Amino acid sequence: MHALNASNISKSYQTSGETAKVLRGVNLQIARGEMAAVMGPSGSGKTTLLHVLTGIDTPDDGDVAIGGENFAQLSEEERALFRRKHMGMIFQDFQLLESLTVKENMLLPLILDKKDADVQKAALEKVMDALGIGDLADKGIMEISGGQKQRAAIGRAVMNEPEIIFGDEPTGSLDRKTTGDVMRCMVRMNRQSGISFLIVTHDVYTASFCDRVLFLQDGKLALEVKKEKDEKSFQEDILKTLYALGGGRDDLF
Amino acid sequence: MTFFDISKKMLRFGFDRYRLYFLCNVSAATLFCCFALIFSNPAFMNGQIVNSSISGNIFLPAVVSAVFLIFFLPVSCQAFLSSRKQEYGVMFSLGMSRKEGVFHLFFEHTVVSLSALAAALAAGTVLSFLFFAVILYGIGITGVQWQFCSEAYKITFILYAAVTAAAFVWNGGKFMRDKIGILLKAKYRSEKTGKFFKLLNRLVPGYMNRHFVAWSFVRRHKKVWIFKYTFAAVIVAAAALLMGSCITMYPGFLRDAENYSPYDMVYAQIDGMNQDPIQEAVRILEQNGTKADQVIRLPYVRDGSFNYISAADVNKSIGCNYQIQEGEFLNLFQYDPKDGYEHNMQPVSAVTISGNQKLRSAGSDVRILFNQNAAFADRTLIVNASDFETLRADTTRSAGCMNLFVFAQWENSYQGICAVKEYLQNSNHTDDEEQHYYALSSKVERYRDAEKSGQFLIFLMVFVTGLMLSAEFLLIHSQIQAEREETDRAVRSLKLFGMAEREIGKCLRYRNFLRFLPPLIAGTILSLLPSYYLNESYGMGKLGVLAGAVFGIVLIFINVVLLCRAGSTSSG
Ligand SMILES: Nc1ncnc2c1ncn2[C@@H]1O[C@H](COP(=O)(O)OP(=O)(O)OP(=O)(O)O)[C@@H](O)[C@H]1O
Ligand SMILES: [Mg+2]
Repeated sequence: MHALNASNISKSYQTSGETAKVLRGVNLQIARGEMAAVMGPSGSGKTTLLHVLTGIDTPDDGDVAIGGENFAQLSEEERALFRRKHMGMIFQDFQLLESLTVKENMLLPLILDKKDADVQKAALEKVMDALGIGDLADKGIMEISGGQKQRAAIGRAVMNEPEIIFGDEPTGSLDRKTTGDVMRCMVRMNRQSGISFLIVTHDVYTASFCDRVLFLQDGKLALEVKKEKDEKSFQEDILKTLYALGGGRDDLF
Repeated sequence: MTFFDISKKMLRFGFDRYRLYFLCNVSAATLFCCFALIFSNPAFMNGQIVNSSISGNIFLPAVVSAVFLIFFLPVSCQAFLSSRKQEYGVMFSLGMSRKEGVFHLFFEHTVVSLSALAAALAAGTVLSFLFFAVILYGIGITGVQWQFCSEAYKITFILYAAVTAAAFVWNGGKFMRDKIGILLKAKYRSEKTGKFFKLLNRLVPGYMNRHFVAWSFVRRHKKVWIFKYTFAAVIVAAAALLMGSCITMYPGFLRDAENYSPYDMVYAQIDGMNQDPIQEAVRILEQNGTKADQVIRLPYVRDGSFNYISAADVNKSIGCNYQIQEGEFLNLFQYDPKDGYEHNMQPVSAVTISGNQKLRSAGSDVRILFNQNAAFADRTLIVNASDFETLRADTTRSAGCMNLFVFAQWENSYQGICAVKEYLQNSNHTDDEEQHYYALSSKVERYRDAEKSGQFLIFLMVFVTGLMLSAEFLLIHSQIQAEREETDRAVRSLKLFGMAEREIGKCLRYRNFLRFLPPLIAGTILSLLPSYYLNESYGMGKLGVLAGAVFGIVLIFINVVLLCRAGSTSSG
């Protein structure tokens, strides 16, 4: 069974009388424990796709199933519960609550799920260690760097051991070195706990940490590249594909 | 850790927002509660104790404060909820259900609202208490004092509860329907440039370019601002209107006191009262430094409804020229038609004077012949001399004499008046109530009462307009506060791209001008026309307009000074 199975998704926006068809029949499967990236030029509909997949937005057409459960058939209430248990999210602008400390932000999913204090404590310890931000636990959000924020956000996403974690440009506000750190964090989480990742990015370096990269163009997933050997050669493959698709140098790094 | 702990932390962190919302609620409800406590005070609203032209002034501010509450609370509720959007967006993305969200918001909202209500009821009580204390001890109007009016608290509670509940349902409902993506990005959402700004850009491109940054602050949250501007302008207009009518009413009171007292002292010799010889009163006056130039004795007959006076007597002693035939009478209305009050001027058509002898009306005249006094009936009929003799002979009525005094100088006759009053009371040997009935009345007392009423009125106006203007200030200020986070962000990025601290300060100061001044100017202008019509009814239209305009200009001036000073002390 797939962690994510989306079929024939289409979505259009109505702006000032015109209809812009952003997604035109997207099919996408992510296997359990797989780490995949979707690439595409700016405005190609990556965020839109992610919003549809996470149920933040509803598609005009098509189905989304996560862990075999079809999203469209759930009520609002059930969807929230489902999101709580089976899904994690990472945003480009972190979306951590400034009112809470790093630790509290990370615990939020468990708190919402009304888990006991000792469960919270155990989960937190495990994740903190894996992320290497143990010493930041009681710091405020405004006191830590972008890379640290994103690692805290990853911690929050994995905290309830979801089926799949979605990331929208998770490295979009980070420099290259920090991008590497954050992505390695994600890979570690992925390997350790078997959580699937789907991240959306326009950055080749970020994408190269994944097992597979899909390319979104003209509202469809046009091509895909799998990681065969090491990251270096994977990056070259991705670049080649981008050129083949006609993307300019704007799309690089 | 539980969600309750998280809520507490959020409360502590976002304390400014909660406090702002709390204060908005408190002030709106306080204002209304205070006015409600005044207008439901039985003594204050009793026309016998407080002139209705004074107490009537409470209604406009009461209505304005009710409208303020009705519109201001939902807007501040919306601002408050908007400030929570990102937090709840994150919670929803982590899987909090909308139902849980509503529940938490509702809980918070209820706690804030209820504590604000409690504070408002207390503050309203204190304010109205101070109001009545000043009236009683400061101005010295007796008979009016603070009273516990459960009615006032009840209306405040009902209005407040209904408005906050409706505001929560309306704004919370919208909030809960917003998509998660929209909630997460709420802080950064832009608004379209409206027609007005496009027009300004076309009309005065140079100006708009120069003040582009200041206007960019103003442009955001256009809808809220349009509402706030309109409402603030209405409040200012109401305040200017009240000020205008207050300025015209004060001299009106004094003028009425003089107009309604053609004589400087009057009393009745009737029913065996005040029988001492006139010379005695004149002597006492003189002892107290008041010289009586002239004393007119006008015989009259009275019953429960009318004073009857003879045309011949009036013509002789007051210098009128009434020609009344036997069997007829003239309705005399002793009013000043331009005093601004409604007068009942229904003439009677016939009266029976004795047995079946009737007099018919020969018409009516409007003229103040003598002062009002408790021993005179409300209405006066002028009759022929022979009919007057018939009336005087009828023992079912009282016959007597009005003594009308003219002084050389009435302004400092108060001491003399008091002495005569005391002398007459001592010689009358009756109880207090009767004394009151036969007591003399005088121009100087009436004038002093008018002054007191005037002070009362001015105090009421200052009190009311003060409260209304603080509401107006709050309306604008609260919004600037609500936008503070956004402003801070903007200021940070302005600094980043090279704007100097000083320039930013100037820009924010200019923004504050754009925020505070338009409603003041619009409100003042808005008040002019109604002020003219309202005050023109007693011939003071122009003065009313002038007073309102001066009030507005002074307000604008004060605001400019305050804004400049606030701007020079802090740039943020
Ligand atoms: N709420 C909306 N209403 C109308 N149009 C929208 C909305 N959201 C997105 N769009 C449009 O849909 C298209 C795709 O937007 P989307 O944000 O999905 O692109 P993206 O691939 O994520 O771009 P980027 O790489 O810049 O983040 C764009 O043309 C955008 O203008
Ligand atoms: Mg995007």
